[in-house]
Amino acid sequence: MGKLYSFKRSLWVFHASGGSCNGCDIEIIATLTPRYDAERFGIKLVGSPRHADVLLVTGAIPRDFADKLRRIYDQMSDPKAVVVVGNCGTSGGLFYDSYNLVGPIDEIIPVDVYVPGCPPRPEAIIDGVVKAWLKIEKLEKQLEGGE
Amino acid sequence: MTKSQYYIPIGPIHPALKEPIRVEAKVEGEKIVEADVKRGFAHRGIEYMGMKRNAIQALYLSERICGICSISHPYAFVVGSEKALGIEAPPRAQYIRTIIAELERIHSHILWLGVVAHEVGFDSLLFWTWKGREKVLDVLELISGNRINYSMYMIGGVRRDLKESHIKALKEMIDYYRIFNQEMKNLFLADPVYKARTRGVAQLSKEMALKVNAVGPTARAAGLRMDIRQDIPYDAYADIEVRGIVPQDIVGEVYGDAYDATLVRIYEIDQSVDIIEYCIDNLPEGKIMAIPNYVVLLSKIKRTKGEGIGAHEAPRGEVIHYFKYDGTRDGPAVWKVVAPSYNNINSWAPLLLGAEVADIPVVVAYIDPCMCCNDRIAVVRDSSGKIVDSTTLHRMAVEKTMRIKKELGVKK
Amino acid sequence: MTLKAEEILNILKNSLGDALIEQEIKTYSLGALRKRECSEVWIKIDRGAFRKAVEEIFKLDYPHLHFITGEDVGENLEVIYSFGLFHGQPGKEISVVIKLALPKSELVLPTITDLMMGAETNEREIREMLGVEFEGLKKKRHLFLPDDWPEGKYPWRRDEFGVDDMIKHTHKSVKEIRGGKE
Repeated sequence: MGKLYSFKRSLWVFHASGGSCNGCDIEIIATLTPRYDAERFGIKLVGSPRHADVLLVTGAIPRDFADKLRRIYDQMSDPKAVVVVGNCGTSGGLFYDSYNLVGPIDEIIPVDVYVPGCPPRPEAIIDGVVKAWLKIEKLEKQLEGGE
Repeated sequence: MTKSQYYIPIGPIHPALKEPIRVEAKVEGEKIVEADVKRGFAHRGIEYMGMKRNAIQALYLSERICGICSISHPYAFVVGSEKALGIEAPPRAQYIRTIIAELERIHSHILWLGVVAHEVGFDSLLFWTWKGREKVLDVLELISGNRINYSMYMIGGVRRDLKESHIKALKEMIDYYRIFNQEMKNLFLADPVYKARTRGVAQLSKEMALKVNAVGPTARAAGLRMDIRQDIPYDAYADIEVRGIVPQDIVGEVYGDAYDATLVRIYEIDQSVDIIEYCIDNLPEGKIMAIPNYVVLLSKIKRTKGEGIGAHEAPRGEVIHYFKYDGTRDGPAVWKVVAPSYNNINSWAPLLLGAEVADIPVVVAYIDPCMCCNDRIAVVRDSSGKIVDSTTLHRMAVEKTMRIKKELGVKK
Repeated sequence: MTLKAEEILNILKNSLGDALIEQEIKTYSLGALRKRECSEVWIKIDRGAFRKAVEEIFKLDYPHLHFITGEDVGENLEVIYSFGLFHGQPGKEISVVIKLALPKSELVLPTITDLMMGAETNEREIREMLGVEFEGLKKKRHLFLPDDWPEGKYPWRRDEFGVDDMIKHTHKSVKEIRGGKE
């Protein structure tokens, strides 16, 4: 059994919205609903970061949200992956000169996968989570090879 | 026996959706003695950024104020700017704007209904309503090219015209929603479980709604007949006699509770479908932009001095934008945005004051049109200092609801 | 009961007297095929008469507060209130916009939260965005800005109290365009 066993099962996802406009957030919910139905791949939203394998983050991260995001990240158990959904979390996007934003997200927590788009389509979000999966699998192979 | 005060923070991170917000309550035993709502976890300083950019850039910024009302803010923006700058959009553009705004109302109301279904623990209904919502998103994608953030509006018109194929898709969609909304009425309004769970919950009286400055469906559910489309009619709404939908017109009595809010929203979907049908049947021919060239438009803005207030009835309530163009910049010198939840969240504190801990999820969940999920990160301690888990909190909420129901004498 | 914009202006004129500095009725014709007139009353008053003007408006009808905003115009702040009167009656809503100049040395206004509870949000926002103190406002905690926001920084001010030095540029090219030399 590899160290990253949990990633061979269903992926549980925690979604943190940090100053996003809700556009990405509702597309994440739309991803779960019958048209796109991410649950058939075993991808499921959970209510606590402690249960989650993957952290989905949206938004450009306002000043007093940064430490809360760090806390969410720390609460997640290893191994974990972070997926950033949307342009403003990826690069700042439209909000490039605000006084209350401290993003982009990769300056606050380590990010594995970026899903650009304003907002990205549900297919792109599923693809992003699958990319995170593949990345973890690759990491696992490296770890096993090293052992 | 002396009771010590405990501090209960709820939020700011909610697992499922919506922007972060924090409710902080001081409790004495079960009773809430002080409640404060801390906003600003999504404060991006959009108005400040808009005052540094040109008007067209600020218009795109206004679209990103809210991803759900992503056409309501640009609507108020263009109406306010046109008033300030003295530009008038061609009739065809005004009708297209109204159609897009009503399409958004349909998707937003269905979204809300799905979330409410989730809150009462009826998740299959959430999935069913959101399946129905995909239809209107398909039409919006066909017309504008994107599911959310449509970028349709421009000062003095719209950026894309409606083609024959779009009209056909719209007509098909109207037929779909006539049936779908009837099914929703059966599933929500006629369902005894839904009624038991929402009747008498988070009641807002008419006087209180006035005092807290409530707007939109929250105010209309309390019996206040206010709707910008009716009070200050603009664009195609001026041609149609739009009337605000209030529960007293539908069922003859007003409770101002979560059930009434559902009622108002479901009937507004019917109204939106009717408005769209009227607009496509009476769509005028002609241009879609008053000033089609953006360089000319920006130089006109740079030369014009003026002030204006733009108002639009968004799905969640009225959106107000104030503009001042000072004749030196090609963008707004002053831009002020008031969104519906800005006012509607006001009702949380008075509803919580004197209520009990179990009310927090109920009030937060039902009153606010910008709903947030119940299972958020919360540490709740009871009077003995023991941490109350979410299951107990939920049980307390159900008990409280039953008690309120008895007190108010709500019939089955 | 509804009144026309002219009648509202006359009532305000009678009660405010000399405190009414500027007055204007703006009329717009809105609508696509069937035009409708919509009027707004814009007045500029002396700051001392503010409370009286608001009370006069509350006597006419319980208004709906549209917004409170302000602009930094050098020596003064221009604070703008907008009330909607007679809402709920088709096509009859009239906005009454009150403007007043506040010198930066004395940024104090009486609160209207005793008349309208919901105005608290607006007043707290103006307090943190422009630094205007509201006499009688109970909750003074930051609403939109973080709790650890530095003292004496007001995002909408254009003077030394502004936030131009707190901006974080995420795009290098923008930094070059806006900042110039940085």
